Amino acid sequence: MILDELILPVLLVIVVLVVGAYLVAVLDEAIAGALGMPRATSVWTAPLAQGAWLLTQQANATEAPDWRAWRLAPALYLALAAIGLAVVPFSPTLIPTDLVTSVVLWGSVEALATVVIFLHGWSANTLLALIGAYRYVALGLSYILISMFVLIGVALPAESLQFSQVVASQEGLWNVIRQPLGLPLFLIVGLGMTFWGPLNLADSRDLARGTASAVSGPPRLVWNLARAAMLVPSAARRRAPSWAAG
Amino acid sequence: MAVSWLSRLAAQASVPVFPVRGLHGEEAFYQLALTPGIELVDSPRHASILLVAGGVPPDQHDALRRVHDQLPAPFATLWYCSEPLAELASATRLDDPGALPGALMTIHRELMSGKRGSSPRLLPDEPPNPWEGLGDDGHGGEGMMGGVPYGRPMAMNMTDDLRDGLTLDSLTVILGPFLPMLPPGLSAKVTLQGDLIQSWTTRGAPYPIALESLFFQALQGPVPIAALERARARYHLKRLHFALRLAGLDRLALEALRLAFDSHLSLKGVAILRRRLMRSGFFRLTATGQGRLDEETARRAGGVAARAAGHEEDWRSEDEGYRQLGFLLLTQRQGDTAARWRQTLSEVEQSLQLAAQAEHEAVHTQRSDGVETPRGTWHRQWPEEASDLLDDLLPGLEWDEAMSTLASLDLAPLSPWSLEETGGAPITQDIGEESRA
Repeated sequence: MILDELILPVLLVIVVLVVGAYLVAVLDEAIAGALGMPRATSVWTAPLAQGAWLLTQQANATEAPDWRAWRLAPALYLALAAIGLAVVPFSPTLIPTDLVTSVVLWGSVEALATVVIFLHGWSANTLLALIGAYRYVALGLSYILISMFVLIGVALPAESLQFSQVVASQEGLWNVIRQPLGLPLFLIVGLGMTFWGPLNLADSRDLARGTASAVSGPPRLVWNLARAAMLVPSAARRRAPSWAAG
Repeated sequence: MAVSWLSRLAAQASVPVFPVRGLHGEEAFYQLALTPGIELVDSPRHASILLVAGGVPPDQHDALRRVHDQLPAPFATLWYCSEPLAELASATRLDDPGALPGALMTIHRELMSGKRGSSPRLLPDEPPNPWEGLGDDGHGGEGMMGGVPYGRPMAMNMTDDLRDGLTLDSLTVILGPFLPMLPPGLSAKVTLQGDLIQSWTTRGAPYPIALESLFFQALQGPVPIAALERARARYHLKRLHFALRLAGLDRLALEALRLAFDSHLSLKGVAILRRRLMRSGFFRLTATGQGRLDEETARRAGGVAARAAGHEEDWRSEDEGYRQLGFLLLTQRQGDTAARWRQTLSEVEQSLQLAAQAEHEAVHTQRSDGVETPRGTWHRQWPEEASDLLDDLLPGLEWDEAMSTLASLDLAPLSPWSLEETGGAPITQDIGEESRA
């Protein structure tokens, strides 16, 4: 009972989160290399070497930060990624937590991500991090709104707020055909929530990396890991219908 | 054992370098941007090496010390064509541009293996505004709104909101002279409400920029127009590289830089870049009508900025050599950020067209009492330094608009020394070809 309903699901989430975040980082390196960015090390070792360097680097201080919030924010963001992953149906039988309200839970993860990202920028008590935080709050509200429409769009045909039911409802017709706008919009939300690629506006270069501009060492490693990890549940949720058809 | 394994792995990471762009130090960073294994980072917190390239005036040494102390341990400094601070007299100094990437990689490896100790802190570890244990409640605050609670004065809204009536607290900070998104040397006192710039007071002008020696030679006698126009195109492409990098378009930024360092720089390469810029939305992103210069300000800014606002000012139209090539003065009307980049790209293309034609017909400049530099007309006097125009231009803009406006303006004065004299080689074909390989 404990093994099936607690230990195995937790292990599954941790393994998928870590391996998934690593693969996201590898893919990011590979795409950068394919686009002609100068690269010296192999795409497989580059994320590991970067992680090792951050582990050896000192975690710096700013003047009078809100220490608890500053250190907690990356960990909370990682925890939100784990919560999001916990309700992803990997197969008809492999679902870490098959909540009847899993669609609502994912919606709340997106809303709480806005709080956590703001906290990360605000608590550093420095200018550029604060502007990054403000910027994400303005954007995050838009992302949440889009995501709500997408989530409602999949919950209605399933007549359920349970992701396993949403997947089962696509046995006859995939949602990507029924609601073609849902997938691209969800992709945008995924990139926006993790401020990845062209939607990296909270940690952007014109803000010297925004909310992360004052972070170094292990806290920065956790932040980078959390951002990559948050892409994993978004990506996993998008591929779930493929087993429904099979 | 575990630590040494971690250190060995860490040594394989790209070398994170925070660039301090000193006087005439810019060229070193173009080379490094194209070097595999070197990563130019945007925050000192993200670096293991502080690279100071070019001289830093003594009155900015304190600012440099503050940047130095922001790097987390273990870190080191490298001084390229620059005199180390007195406290760091034993730090590594280098004058050979070819040895720069190798030296950075060696320093990073030595730091990770423990062979090299971390650079010492230069400033006392205390807040600039003492607050601990002070004031009525021990947090530095006095009375209702006075003092410096937790090191900052109370954020009070003293000015009307310029945007939407959402009166956020005002925050006043000093930016520069080493903030990577500002022109090197530029410093300003800025008041922000949220991300909106309420006031901007320029305190220090940008460092002078060095031009290729051809522009100086053009004031001594005839020079080949082909070479002069290629030098102009290279200058503008390097500026475009900076703006694209700032906009997060890293791939296009590198493409612009590779073109700038390509000795066979051709119109075809620039046409491809223009297509990709259109597709990336760069012009749409900057086409918000922001950063518009009025007639008088545009004339003061000179060069591309003046022509982008409709001023028909270009010394080339006075030169018989250019007339022979059918030189046509290009202008835009809007005078805003997008217009300046459209003008820049059009001028790069025009320069390459003129270069190809002039090479074929072996045409030289005819007048040596003036020259059109990439920064503006140099006739009797140099193009003037115009950074104080930012004080009126930037208030009312959001942070990203202000930064993209700044990147589109070329306001620094011209250096009396050429690029070759200051140690920056104008064409390094090897760099472009190495990076492609």
